[in-house]
Amino acid sequence: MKKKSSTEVWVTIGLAVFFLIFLSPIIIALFGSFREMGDTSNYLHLFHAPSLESYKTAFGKMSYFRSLKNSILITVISVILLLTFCSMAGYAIARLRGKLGSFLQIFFLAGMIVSAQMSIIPMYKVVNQVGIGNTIAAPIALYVTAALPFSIFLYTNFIKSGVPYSLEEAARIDGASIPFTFVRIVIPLTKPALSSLVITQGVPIWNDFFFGMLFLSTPTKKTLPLMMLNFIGDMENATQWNMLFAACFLSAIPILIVYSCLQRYFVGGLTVGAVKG
Amino acid sequence: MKKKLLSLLVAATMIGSMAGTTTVFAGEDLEDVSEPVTLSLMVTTRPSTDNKDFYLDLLPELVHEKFPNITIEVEQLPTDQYKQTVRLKFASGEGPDLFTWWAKKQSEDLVNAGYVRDLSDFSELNKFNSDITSAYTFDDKVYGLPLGTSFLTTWYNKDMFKEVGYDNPPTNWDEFVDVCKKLKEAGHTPITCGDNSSYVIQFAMYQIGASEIYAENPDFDKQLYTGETHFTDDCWVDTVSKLQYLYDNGYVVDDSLGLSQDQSRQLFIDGEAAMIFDGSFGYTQLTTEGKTDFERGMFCVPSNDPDGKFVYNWTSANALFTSNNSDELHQQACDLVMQYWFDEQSPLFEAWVNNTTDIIAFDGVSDSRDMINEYLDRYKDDQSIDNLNNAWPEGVSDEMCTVFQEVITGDATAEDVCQAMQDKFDELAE
Amino acid sequence: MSKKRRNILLAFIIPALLFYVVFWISPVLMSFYYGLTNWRGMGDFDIVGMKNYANLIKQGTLFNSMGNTIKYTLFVVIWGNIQALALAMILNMKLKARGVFRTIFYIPALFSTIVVAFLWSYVYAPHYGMISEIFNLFGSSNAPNLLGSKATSLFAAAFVETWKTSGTMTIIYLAGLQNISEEVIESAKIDGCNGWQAIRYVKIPMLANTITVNVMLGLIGGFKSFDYIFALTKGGPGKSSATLMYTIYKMAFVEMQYGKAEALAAMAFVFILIISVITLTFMKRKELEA
Repeated sequence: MKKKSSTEVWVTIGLAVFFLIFLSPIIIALFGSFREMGDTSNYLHLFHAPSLESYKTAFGKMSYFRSLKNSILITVISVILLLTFCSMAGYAIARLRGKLGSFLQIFFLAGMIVSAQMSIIPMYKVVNQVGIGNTIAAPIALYVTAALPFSIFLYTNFIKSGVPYSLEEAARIDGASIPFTFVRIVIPLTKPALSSLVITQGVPIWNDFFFGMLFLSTPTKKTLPLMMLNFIGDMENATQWNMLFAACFLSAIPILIVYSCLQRYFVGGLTVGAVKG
Repeated sequence: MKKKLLSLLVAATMIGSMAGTTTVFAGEDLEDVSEPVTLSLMVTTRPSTDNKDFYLDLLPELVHEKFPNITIEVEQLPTDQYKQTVRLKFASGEGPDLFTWWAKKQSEDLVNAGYVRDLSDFSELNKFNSDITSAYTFDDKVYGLPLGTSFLTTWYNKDMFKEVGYDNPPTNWDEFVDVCKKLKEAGHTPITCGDNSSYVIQFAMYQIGASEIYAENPDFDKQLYTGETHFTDDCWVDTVSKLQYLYDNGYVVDDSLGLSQDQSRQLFIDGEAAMIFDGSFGYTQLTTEGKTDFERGMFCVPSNDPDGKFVYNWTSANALFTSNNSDELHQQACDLVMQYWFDEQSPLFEAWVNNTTDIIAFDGVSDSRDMINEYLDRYKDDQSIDNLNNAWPEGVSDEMCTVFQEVITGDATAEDVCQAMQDKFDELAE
Repeated sequence: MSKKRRNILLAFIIPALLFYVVFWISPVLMSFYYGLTNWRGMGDFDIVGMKNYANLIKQGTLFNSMGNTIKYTLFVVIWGNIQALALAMILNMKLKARGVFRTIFYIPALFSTIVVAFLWSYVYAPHYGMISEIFNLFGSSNAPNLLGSKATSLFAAAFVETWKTSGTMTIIYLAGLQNISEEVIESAKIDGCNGWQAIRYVKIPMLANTITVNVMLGLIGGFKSFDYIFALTKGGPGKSSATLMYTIYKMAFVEMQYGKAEALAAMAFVFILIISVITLTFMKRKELEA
């Protein structure tokens, strides 16, 4: 017993050191964000002239609460739509027999290899033709679509290996319809897959600026990452790094809070749903 | 950065306001547009720490104050993303009502595709410096209102130069090389280059190319299109070789390929390097105090022989364009905004003059930065040349920087750079 | 399966299929069409047939960018998975501080790519970057110039990609590990397996499904690599780190050769598809063996 706890201490110390190194770029940025705006001297000097100036300015220039509201709105709607679409389609694909099922699985999977950069002009045209250009529906539609291939792949895989068909069979004999079985049996059993999709797909949506940049030109509709673009320079103008760092933490804080509250559920809670067939 | 209006302008303003007549481009003297309209304006990002940003805050506010029916929505993006987004919007028929773009060849595509409106009849047009306006003139029609000029230059540490016996900047290539050599011998890094941001290579190349190529043949670029000249001609090979010489002799900071331009600027202001190839646009960053305190100066790299002719860089920065796709109401609103913007008596004009980082090319306005005025005054009798890439199809300058990086790593020669540029030119100019 | 049942299942697919076809597949098909033209992204254009394809092969652009993409992808898949699997196994240990570690390991994934890219440009920078300063601490001024050397710039960018995606990959491995019951491991130990053997012969085979997911994730992430190349190396020095997606972007929006870029995109698409299918088939076969 004693031996075990001393191993634990060493592993804990080792992990702490590892994460300190692993996360050092972020730690440096964190300290950088607490500097005055023009102070770009050596960032390794962590405690150089601390100040809240960068946060104050970034907060104002980002119109923080308005952008936060937009970010939340867009991310939440996208994730809800994504989970609905992908669970329905993923379930159907997993349970469809014959060639059609496997064709659809590959058909959706193929979409993973498409990068938005590759066909952005036609994508832009399609969005405008559908009539959702410069509305929040445009980035939402593309976030959902872009995340579908991987999400369906993951979800189908999970059902095939983690949800015993016998359970559904039993429900069917009891006279349950497919939608009923899906909502009452399949969804609860696939919570782990759904929750990991929330995190793995939701965070990139929260952080994305590409689709937002192309489809949201109205300032009042902009999300947090889009407002950060205002701090990035180019060949003539220098980037305001400290303000950018501050902006970056301001934009990551909400999601950090959500993650640390839900982390137990996302990772630890995964076992709850794991009924191995 | 404050710019002051000349007293001449103040006088002109008074006369103007007494007479109370302004010619109206839209054809009629409008107070405002007839119904509420929202204009989209796109500009490249100019990160500022000021309380109010000209484009993001002042412009929309002042316009809305003057014309309650006009609301301006401003979108700001960093250059690369900006170019992609604006082109994308035009390609799908959704171009912004007002936007800024670059000179000559860079705006030619937009003009040829019919995306931008002819502004030749704009009432205030004659107040812009006509040399500069010509950069936006195609088939005798003016499509852009120049928002200012800038120049590529070499910023240097006057204290270090004095230390090695140069009280004045070098005036020919031999002197320039001599300064580098002496600085190195004195234990200084002569030049810092942020070559990881590959566009920086242009800053050096265009300064060297100015005298090397255009002193003898100002029409070199025009002749590229007729086949009379080529990038593989001696003048270009010499230009690239001169820049290569600086690297080969260790005058450029080690590991420059790993440094970004921001990091390179930091080396300069910290006094770790004596020179940096940059531009007038670097003013704010490069005059910021770093680890050491020293006096700054600027000069254009003199690649000429002692008795040869010197040419320096001076170029139009960018201009304001309006979309051709928008309806009459939007166009009318754009006209009103532009008239108000370039009316010397308007608060909008004043806000613009006070906030721009470009050197304004507008009648009666002078720059408030002494270093810049002194620089332009020093070279006022010399010939100047636009940024070289303004005359080329986009993509050639990028190829130049890419292949020159290989020269730095020792995998390509000056001839390779020139050949690659010519190949890219042939491919893109067809 | 009854016909009615089948129809209901098909109806379940419709919303996803609709979005997917309209916003994803149709633009791709349109791009393939543009690949046959000389469109410059604006104005009029002509159909030029296979000329773009011929030029891409002749000029060597295809092979250079494809080679870089393969190197980048291999690094992301191999290193990314080793890193994530190791992290997941450690985080799956019963430590008192587990909750804290399980929160912080995901932090890199929470930041946006632009900021991550800058942070690393600082880490890599010569003279006063983080690596360089650490070398200085030990009295050495020979810190490697990772972004500025042709041999390393591609991998330096790929490393950032694995750093950023480590959270996601680890979370997927953690989920997989949760499905392995303690009894299986205990019984393996009783059967005389040591720690390493338990991992190699019990855990890894049981994770086969999860490994497939992560390999595919790394593979496709690597093939689509753009952000870190764009922000850290711009394809340089020279063209040594120009990946497919970066080359396509540059061709389309810097050189304004949209048609040619789409021809390259079409070739990239087919190439990635083939490699993905081969890998997936291989992984699935391995899964069955395990």
